[in-house]
Amino acid sequence: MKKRYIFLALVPIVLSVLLALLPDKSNSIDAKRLAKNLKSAKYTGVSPDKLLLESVNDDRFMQPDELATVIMGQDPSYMLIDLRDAGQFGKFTLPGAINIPSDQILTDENRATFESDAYKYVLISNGTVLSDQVWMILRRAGYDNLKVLNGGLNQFYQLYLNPPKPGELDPSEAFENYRFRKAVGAHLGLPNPDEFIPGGSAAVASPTTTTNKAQTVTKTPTKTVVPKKAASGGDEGC
Amino acid sequence: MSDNNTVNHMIELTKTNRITIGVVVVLVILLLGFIFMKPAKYAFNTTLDKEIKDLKVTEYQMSPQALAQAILKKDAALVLVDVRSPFEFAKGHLPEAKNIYKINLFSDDQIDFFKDLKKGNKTAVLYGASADEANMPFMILKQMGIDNVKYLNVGYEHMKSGNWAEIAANSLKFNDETPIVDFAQFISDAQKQNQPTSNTTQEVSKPVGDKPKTVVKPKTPAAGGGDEGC
Repeated sequence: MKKRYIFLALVPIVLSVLLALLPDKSNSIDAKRLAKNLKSAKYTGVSPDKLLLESVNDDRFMQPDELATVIMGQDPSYMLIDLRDAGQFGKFTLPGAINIPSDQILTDENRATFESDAYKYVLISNGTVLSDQVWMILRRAGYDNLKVLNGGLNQFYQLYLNPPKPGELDPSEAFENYRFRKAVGAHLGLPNPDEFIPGGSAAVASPTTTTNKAQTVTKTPTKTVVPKKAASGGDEGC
Repeated sequence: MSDNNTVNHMIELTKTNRITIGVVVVLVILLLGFIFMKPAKYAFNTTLDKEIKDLKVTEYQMSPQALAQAILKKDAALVLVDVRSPFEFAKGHLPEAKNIYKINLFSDDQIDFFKDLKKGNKTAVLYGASADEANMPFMILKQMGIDNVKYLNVGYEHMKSGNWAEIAANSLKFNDETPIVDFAQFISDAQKQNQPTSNTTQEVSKPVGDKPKTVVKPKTPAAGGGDEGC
């Protein structure tokens, strides 16, 4: 009889000892963050096969035009992070970007930057490869809400410095895109593409197209008002 | 009295028996769980610290020139791996490349392939449609401790011609991270240009303010016209 009680008492004790001796392979990010050794951690956030799947689809990419709308609209939910060194950052960057050089992304201070859930973080470098590598390291460290600027600053500035001109037969969206990109270029302080491109024809024609764009923008809200008045006028008349 | 005692005894016996049986069942379930538990097959084996340092290591990049030279020399220490889809691979690929579609990277065959290369002191050069496509599988393999991998820092299109001598002689340096042009220069030039011509830009902005007025005009004729009609 007593043996049975002893056995029953021993089982939980042995189990708890086993639990204490289990190797630490936890994926608990918070535990790793609290332990200061995040940088020397091997088992963290996301497993390799999951990360591969994430890296294969393009969800992490932010296209230049998307980023341009964020910059023009001064969207506060995005934080632009320039990963180049301080020298390059000082010369030029994107409006509102902060500088975290790629080799300092996991210092205590900078880690605190990535903790907030309020922001989407856009990683920016000259190309895509470095920001993508940093994206992967940050994902492995367990951080979320990360975006990568597709094509980097090289393509970003090129696109707005010299936006591809739509042909005559292109759909109207192509023209709208072109005007939008020129407006972004002007916002970034880049020279007007029509004046800048060698052999670019009517430099005079370009301001009129920009004003046309402004017209269409202002028109649309007023237009919506017009039918109402006309309708009410029609009612009165009848 | 003695009868009563034995009855009590019996009740207690059945009680503890049930508890013991319960505990044994739980233990068996735990044991089965341990036996059938799949340990995480693939795990990262490098520290984040090392990965951050590796960001600046250029040796993991393979330039098109170096690759073209290796192909000309028929260097057996380099093994080309195409990470594009089998469809793209079938349309055309670099000589003697092995197709490992990036999505299928995690199977025993593929990982063993890379491990065997490491044993044989060979280096795998990953390439895709762009440097970026090869970069992602490369990073994952490297972080798993398979560090005999490199990635081609241009896309397949760049190597497509197969004119190795010409590619090897190309003096252009390819690195995704080098700025193409000095945009700072452009911006400061543009600002200098804009200062004298700032009047014209104001003129341009004026018509924008005027024209909405002309847009307003059509409203009244439309409404008035509607009234007149009726």
